[in-house]
Amino acid sequence: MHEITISYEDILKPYVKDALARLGYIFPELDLVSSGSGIRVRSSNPFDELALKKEIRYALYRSKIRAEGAQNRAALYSSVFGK
Amino acid sequence: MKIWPLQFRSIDSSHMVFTDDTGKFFKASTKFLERYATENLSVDDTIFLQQNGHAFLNFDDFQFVGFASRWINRVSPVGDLKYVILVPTLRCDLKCDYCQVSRVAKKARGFDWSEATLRQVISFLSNLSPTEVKIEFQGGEPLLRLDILKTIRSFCRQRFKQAEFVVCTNLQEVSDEAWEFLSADDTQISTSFDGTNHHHQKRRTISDTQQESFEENLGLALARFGSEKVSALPTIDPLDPPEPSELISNYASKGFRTIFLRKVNFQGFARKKYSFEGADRHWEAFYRQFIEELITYNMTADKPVEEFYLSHILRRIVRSGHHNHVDLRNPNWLGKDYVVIDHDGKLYPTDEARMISRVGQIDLSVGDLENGLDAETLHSLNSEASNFDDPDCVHCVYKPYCGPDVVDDLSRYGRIDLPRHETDHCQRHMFLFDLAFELIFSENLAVQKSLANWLDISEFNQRLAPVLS
Repeated sequence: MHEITISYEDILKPYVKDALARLGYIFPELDLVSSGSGIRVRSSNPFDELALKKEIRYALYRSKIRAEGAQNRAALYSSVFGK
Repeated sequence: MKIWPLQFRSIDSSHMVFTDDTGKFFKASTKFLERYATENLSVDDTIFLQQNGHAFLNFDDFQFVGFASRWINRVSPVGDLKYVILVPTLRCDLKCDYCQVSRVAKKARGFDWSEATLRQVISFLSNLSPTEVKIEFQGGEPLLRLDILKTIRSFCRQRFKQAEFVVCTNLQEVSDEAWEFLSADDTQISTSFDGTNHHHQKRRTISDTQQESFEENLGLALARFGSEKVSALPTIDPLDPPEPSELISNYASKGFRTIFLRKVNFQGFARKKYSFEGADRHWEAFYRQFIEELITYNMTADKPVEEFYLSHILRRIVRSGHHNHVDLRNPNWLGKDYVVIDHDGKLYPTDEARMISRVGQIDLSVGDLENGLDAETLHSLNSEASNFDDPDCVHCVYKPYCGPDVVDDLSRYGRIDLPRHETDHCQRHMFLFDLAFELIFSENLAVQKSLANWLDISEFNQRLAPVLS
């Protein structure tokens, strides 16, 4: 069994759940769980740690950006389609 | 300052392309992503984002309104039905190796519109609300039913203020009467030419006699009408493509300025004959080589040539408002602004949907002439017409330029809810968008010269490709 834990900054913590939901189907061969201040990755096959670390960070970034854009999107739709 | 959400994608080991929902883009280092995502933007970052329209201060300031205006222009509006593809016959005088449109033998019976169907088609057309219409005659070989084409054209000329016609013909057998029909100013000719005579004969005409007939008729059409009225499309087998330089040369020498490369379609009867194993990889290699050859050709050509789909993608990236090509728009409304009427009077949202239905995989008809469009089926298809809420697309850097293809997903997978990155449509377009951005950020003068031509601008200014340094 291959295993690593990828840490992230506290600022990204609220977005771990969303990111894991998406990463779960992008990397179905990996077992991904939130563990303290990191994401624990397990797999029966070896994986590229550097690439995976990047993908996980990008997924966290994307979830954060998506969530934080909600207010702006709501304002945009309201502006375009009427209040 | 509020920043509009930015999507991102690596374009090399240290740089990324960023886009917002209006399609405004820029290139920056991966370090910028770290600063952006962890809320540590520098003063220079902030100034750049403001100056490039990615940020605003208040919900009613001009930056916000400007963003809203750009965003709405990215949305494909629901248009009136004014583009109708008609299939008066499925019969064809060729038996192409990879028939794209489903065909039957020239002498087969029961595959033409009946008199009653023709009356119903005219009734259908008469009920359209727009004052203009575009009719595309497909087949089979539509010139086998010149009588029907004449009837429809005459009716449309009377019924609509403006009517245009396209005859999609193999130019195999063209009678004097057909030439006369095709010569009208409001009628365009669309044909197939697979890039070289060798490839065309191998896949389509087969015999020397038929190949000679095609070459003679294509030559006649171009001599009489010119390439403004005659267009041709090559269908490419990725496992046996022509040499790109030869294809370009053959098209350019005939006066064609546009080449729309089409890979052998997974739909229609092609799926029964072809192995698609590894075809995508071959296609991408061929396509990239083709574009490189095209750029080289354009460097010295008096009359530059474009690959239509790449030009379309580039235009969608650089400008908004390009919603007229139904293969790529968002939302991609089905059965709204165009529809296909098959040889049996059934209605389809696209020609591809007709092909899938014809091979018996799934019935994607959206009504018939007897009962009109089936609102419930259309509603179901159109519920997935946009990429706005797709759980993968919302994170995609190319979302503003892309659009879904429900029919393609259904044809390949029988479902539309696969993770987007696993679909052929997504993979194909990621390749094309990656290539487009590679060209946009290129400092090569030959690339920039072609880009200017393809974007229909005098010169490609680097300001069109902003970089946050």
